[in-house]
Amino acid sequence: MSDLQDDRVQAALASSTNGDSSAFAVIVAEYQGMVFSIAYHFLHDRALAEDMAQEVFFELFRNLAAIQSPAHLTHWLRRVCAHRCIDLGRRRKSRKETLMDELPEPLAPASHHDPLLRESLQKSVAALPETQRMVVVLRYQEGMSPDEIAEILKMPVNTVKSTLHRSLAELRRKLSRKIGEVKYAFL
Amino acid sequence: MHFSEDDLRAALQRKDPGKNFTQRVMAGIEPLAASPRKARPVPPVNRGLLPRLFAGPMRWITAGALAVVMLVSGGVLEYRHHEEQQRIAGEKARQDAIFAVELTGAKLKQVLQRTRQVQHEAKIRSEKL
Repeated sequence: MSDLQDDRVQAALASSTNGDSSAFAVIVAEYQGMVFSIAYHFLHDRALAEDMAQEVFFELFRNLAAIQSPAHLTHWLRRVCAHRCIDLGRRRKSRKETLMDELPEPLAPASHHDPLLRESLQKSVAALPETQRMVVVLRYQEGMSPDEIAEILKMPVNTVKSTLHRSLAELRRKLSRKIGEVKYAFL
Repeated sequence: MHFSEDDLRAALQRKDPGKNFTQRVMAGIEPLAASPRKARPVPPVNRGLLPRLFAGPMRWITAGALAVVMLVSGGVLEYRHHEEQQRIAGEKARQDAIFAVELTGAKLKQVLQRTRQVQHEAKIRSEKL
C-alpha cells in the first residue's frame, strides 16, 4: 500500500472511530477486494464469499476502536477472514473434488495465461483441506511470507512451510492425474 | 499438467466483489451504528480541546456558539450578496443613462446639421433673387 493510501486509510480509521460512517465506506472500498478474494478463493462460491466478506466488515465495524493503524487493519482483516473461512469450511465439509470431474481439460501443454489452467488451479485449490487451502491462498493471493501466515493462522512456521510444500505437491498430482485420465480416454 | 508458482499467483489474483458491495455493507452497518457502541477508552492526556468541547454539558454551549457563529456568518454573507446586487443594478442604470445621453447627443447633432443646411440653402436662394 502506498503512503498516500496509508494516509487516507489512517484518516478514515480516525474518522470512522468517531462515528463517521462515510469514512468507514472508504475503508470498505479499500479492502473489499482483499477480503472478498480470500473468501472467494477459499470457498469458491461468489455469493457465499460476499456474505463472508460482509460479515467480516460488520465485525470490523464493531471492533474499530481496537484498530491502531492501516497495517494493523490489514493484519486484522486477513486474520478474521481466514479464521471465519476455515470455520465455515469445516462446517460445510463439502470439498469441491466432484467439480474436478466436470472440468474440461486441455490435451496440449498449457500456456502461461491459459484460462483453463487458471480454472483448474482454482478448483484444485478449492478442493484442498481447509488449512492447506488457506495457507495457499494467503501465500499466492496475498503474497505473504510463511512467517506472516504462521502468525495469522497461529501455526509454527515450519508447519506452514511443510503445508505449502505438501499442498503444491498435491495440486501437481491432482492436475497430472486429471490430464492423464483425459489422455487415456482419447487413446 | 505442469504449473509454476506464477500460474498459481495468476489463478489466485484478487477479484472484486459484485457491484454496490460497499453500499450493501453500509446498509448492513446502519443498525449497528444506530445501537449504542462501547465508547473508546481515551486516556485524559490524549484528549485535546476539540473532543472536550463536544463532550458532556459543554456540548450544548458549543452547539449554541456554533449556531450563533453560523447565523452571523449567514447574515454577513446575505448582506454582502445584497450589496453586490445593488452595485450591479447601479452600474446597469449608469450604463443605460450614458447610452441615452449619447443617443440624444447624436440626434441633436443631426438636427443641428440639418438646420444649418436649410439656413445655407435659404441664404443662397435669397442672394440669387
